[in-house]
Amino acid sequence: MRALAAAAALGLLAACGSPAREAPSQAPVADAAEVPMNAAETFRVFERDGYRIVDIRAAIIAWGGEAVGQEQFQRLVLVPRDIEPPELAGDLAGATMIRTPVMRIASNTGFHEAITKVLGINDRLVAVGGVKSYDDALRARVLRGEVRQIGYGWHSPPQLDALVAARPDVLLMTIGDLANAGAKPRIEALGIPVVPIFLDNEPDYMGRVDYVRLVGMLTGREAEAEAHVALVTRNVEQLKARAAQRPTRTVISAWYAGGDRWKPTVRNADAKLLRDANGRNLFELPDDRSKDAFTEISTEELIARGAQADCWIMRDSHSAPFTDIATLRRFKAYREGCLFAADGMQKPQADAFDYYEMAVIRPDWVLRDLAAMLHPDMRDEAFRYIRPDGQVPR
Amino acid sequence: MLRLDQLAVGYGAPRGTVVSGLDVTLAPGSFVCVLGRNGAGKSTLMRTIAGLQGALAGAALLEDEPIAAMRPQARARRIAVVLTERLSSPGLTVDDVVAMGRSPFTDWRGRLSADDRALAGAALDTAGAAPFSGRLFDDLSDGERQRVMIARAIAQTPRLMVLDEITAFLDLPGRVETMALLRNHARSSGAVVLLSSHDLDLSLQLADSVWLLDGRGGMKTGTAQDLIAAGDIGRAFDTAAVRFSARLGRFELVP
Amino acid sequence: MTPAGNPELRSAIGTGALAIVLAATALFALGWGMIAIPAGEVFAALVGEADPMNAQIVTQLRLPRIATAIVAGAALGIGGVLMQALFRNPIADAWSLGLTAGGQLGVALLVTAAAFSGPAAIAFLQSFEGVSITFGAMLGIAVFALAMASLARRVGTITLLVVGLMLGFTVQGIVSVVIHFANRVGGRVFSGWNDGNFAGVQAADLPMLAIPVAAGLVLAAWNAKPLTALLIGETYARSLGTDVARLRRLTLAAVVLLVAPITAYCGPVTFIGLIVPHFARAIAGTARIGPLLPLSALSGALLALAADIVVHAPWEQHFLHLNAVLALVGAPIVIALLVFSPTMRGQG
Repeated sequence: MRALAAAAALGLLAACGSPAREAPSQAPVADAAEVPMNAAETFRVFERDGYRIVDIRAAIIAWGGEAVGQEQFQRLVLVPRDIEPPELAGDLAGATMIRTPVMRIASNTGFHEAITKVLGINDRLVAVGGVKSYDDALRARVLRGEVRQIGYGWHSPPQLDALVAARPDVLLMTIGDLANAGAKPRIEALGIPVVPIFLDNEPDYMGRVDYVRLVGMLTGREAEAEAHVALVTRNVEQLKARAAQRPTRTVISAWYAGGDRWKPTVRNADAKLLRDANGRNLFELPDDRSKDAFTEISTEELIARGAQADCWIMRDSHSAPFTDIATLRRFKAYREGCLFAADGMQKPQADAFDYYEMAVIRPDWVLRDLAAMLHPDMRDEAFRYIRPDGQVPR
Repeated sequence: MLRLDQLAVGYGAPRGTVVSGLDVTLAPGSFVCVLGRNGAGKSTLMRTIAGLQGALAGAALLEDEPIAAMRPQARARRIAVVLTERLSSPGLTVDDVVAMGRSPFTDWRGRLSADDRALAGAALDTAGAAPFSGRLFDDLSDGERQRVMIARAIAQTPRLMVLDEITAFLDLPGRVETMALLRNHARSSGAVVLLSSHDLDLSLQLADSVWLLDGRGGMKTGTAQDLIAAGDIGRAFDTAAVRFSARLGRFELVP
Repeated sequence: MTPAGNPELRSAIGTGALAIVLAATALFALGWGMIAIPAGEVFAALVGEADPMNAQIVTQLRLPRIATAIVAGAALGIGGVLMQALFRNPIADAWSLGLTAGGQLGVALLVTAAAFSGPAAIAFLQSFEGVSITFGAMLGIAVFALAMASLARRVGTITLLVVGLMLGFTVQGIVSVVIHFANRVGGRVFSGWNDGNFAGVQAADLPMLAIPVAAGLVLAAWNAKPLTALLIGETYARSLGTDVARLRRLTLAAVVLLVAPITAYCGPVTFIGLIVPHFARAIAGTARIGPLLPLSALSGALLALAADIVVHAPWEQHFLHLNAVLALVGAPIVIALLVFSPTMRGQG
């Protein structure tokens, strides 16, 4: 009798469970022309009947670690406001429709703001992560309350109250964390389309720049986006060519993480920057889309494998300082004065760091710093993001 | 009416049977003291009769109904116990504790009817615990708490009350008062009151009849006079240092 | 120290007052936060006649969260009363005796088992997500509850508490390892539930939360009288007609029903079950379980709601976590109980 009652209760409970949302169709897009991207691997764009279909596919990679769970897939349909929207059936079943151009943008990460700045549409931002924007005008608007705060993606999922109040046409959401992935369906249920940004997953740094084109398509600023991509591409090619003429130098980029831990860059986009600057990364590993760009090692391993590097980027603006001279003396980079830090372009009083905003979509500027670091005769301009370290005692 | 029918009490191995072959009948309204040295089996016997422990053989019957076979709630309406345990119950008031005596009779919510309240009040009076009403149980001294527990047992309107060495915390006037009130209660309510005690003097003076556990697995029953005359008290309690004097009716030290 | 006034009256007045304060606080919480919504708009939103943005915020975002806080607080409060009566231990609580840790472990093991069983198992788990995780939590809590119940007969009050807290730490360690393996094999991770949070529950999930809690409530009310008898000791309870073994089973079943859905949906929520019964006892002036149940339910709901309001206050950044707020209130109270209560001081 009791067992029967329990079974009935469980059945009742099961019936009350929330139904699973319809998963987007992953069928190949039919009868469409692909709009090729230079380097992006996490998204593809197709064009058909005056609208565009964007397939975004990537895994969520835990910080410093590996891909978590299955790859996420999202199909967006970008439909200009002035044409009849297609029916969301067939290969468009379960896709998210966004009417373009979007005029009200919410963002949960700093480098989205760099993209909007480059496209000249910062005024369309109605909600950002918080008050840490590098752009003074934008930061002032946030402080005045004209732009709402929804929390930065690296800290927490978006604040739904503020997001709803901002009434955005779209949320650009970098998903670096499963908590954010869990929030995505909730946000969509509130009627706000989400564009997952997997810029950090791109194994080539030019793939990151291609996201400017994606946002350009969303906002009707494709001309500006193309111009930006062209500029960056041109600069990158020139720098690569100049650097290639110099002798290759050995390099490590290993940031201090406190205790006896260091985080060396080993793969993907950040490693490619070092390579293209004609540096041989002593910690280099094969590229792997399912892992993060850096790993974690101990001081001993750093000494064993990296002591002979010509140059060393030893920290960024957030790392703890490392001042142990005895250990540092074992590094050639320290003795020969090629110790660098990724702490340029920062506004500490505002807790704002352009290295994590604009530098992400201006790899040509970062490449310029790296090339100048490795090849002293390329130091014709001031260092911008990566500059000689000023903290370590000599 | 309480009847023991070839009752044997004890535990499984290794302790085994403690007392056996008990055949006694008690009339309603009797006030009976159970005496014996430590380890003779008083508590074991009391607990078995109260239905808190199983018998090894035979049966105890209350008004011709086997106690062990009663359903717990039915048993709770007939038999009340008061134990030696030192109790503490943070937060309970004296009235809460006494009202608990009515719980075998109340509905699933424990709601007290006017009758229940009257019985609880009367029980407090009978036990001499009325001054404590309204106070927290934990604020009372041990002796006062014991009175409250007796009041609770009285409120349970049992046909059989089993009290196991409850006078340990009381001073002499307190013990006299307690045993006297229990005897009066037995008489007036018609319940059988079974009280185990180390108070030989008082027990011998106040009890209607005495159950004497000899410490060897047997029990003698009878009035105090009978047992004194037969020398059973001496046999059960005499040591090298102290001896029961039948003439004096009390113990005297051996010079 | 004489408790002033009649416990029946005090309980009735206390229950009424708490209900009113709870309702008022809930209305306040619906309007307060990063986006301030005036009371008039709140009412309008509740009846469906407000500005759509406000209506969406109030009904889709805040209402489920507040309802969850109230249900969770009530369930944990009553769970605390039951645990403290059953274990005769004033600092017993589903969290302090490690039961919520057991619930987490149950969910983690279930997720991992599904992950290792393959995609079909994962799909099944996800389609019955609500039931599955509640079931996993129930299993874990039941196992730990039985273990603690048998341990309780052998060790003293404080030892039991230490064992419970240690179990909590142990489970945290195990869960992080287990979930790592679940990640590897592609299992879905129920993220963020190492920390208590009422905001993750959506309106559609509320029945899954409310139904087991309601069942637990009924079971608790049904057993209030025998549990009160247990307060004067097991032997006396038996002499009053209580089947102690059955009471223990039913009470633990009630605790499982009350605490498992909360742990499954909101993560481990600390302290509420521990401190609310003391507050309820102070109001009622008695330790009898009957009046304590509604008092604990309402004060638990109020405490949970208040903590949630603090968490969702319009700070610049969402930096206060639910358990941090509860700990700020709860931990000093527990310390005070241990140091100043004569019963606790003497126990080992």
